[in-house]
Amino acid sequence: MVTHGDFRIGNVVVSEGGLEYLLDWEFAHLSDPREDLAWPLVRAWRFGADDRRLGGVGEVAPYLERYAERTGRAVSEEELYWWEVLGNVKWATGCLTQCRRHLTGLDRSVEYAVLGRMAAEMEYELLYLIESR
Amino acid sequence: MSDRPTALELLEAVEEFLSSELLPTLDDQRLKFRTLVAMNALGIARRELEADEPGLGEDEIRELARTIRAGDVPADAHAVLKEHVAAKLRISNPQYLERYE
Repeated sequence: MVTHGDFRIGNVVVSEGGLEYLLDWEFAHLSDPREDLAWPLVRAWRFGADDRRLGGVGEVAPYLERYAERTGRAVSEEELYWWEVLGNVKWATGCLTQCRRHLTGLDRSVEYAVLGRMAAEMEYELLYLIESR
Repeated sequence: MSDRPTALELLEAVEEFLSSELLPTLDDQRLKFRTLVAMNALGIARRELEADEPGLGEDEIRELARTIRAGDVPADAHAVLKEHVAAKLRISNPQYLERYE
């Protein structure tokens, strides 16, 4: 099915009335819906609030319960493990790709340059995820 | 042998200029952010110059990747890789490792 491709807190606009907008659809593609579901679990999107595994703002179990209520599709935390690992690989390669834009001269930017050194954070998280399994 | 300031001292001088002279004058949020990123880049370069732990060499990493790919995973592969990545993080983002304590 169509997945958003960058579904995380930074791309969600909410008001007191609930969800307003979902931004940044440029990574939309056909995939398994669990790819989107697991993406906000990636540690990089917790912005330091590591104990709240869902984007640094919530727990995973109520999120999946609500998802099942709304879609009729039951997804377990267990199932999301593989997709969370994939999410970390995706963001690590994303960092390296951005860095390459700088290094090749396609788009010189100190931000892109520094992202090349950020990939190690996802490498460490991947080793941690493998170990914790 | 070059004169002082050393490369390290030059990096420190630029970092100090950015943080204490340039940054406080910036109102543009985007420019402020990029200046912080630039300071971060200088910090990485400074820590790399100071570091005496290069981790695994490129040849060692390539050899380890080859053996893992061949299905012959050394018993200490996970520990070796973890220490290698930790050494990189002590340079790129030392605070990051505290998130795992």
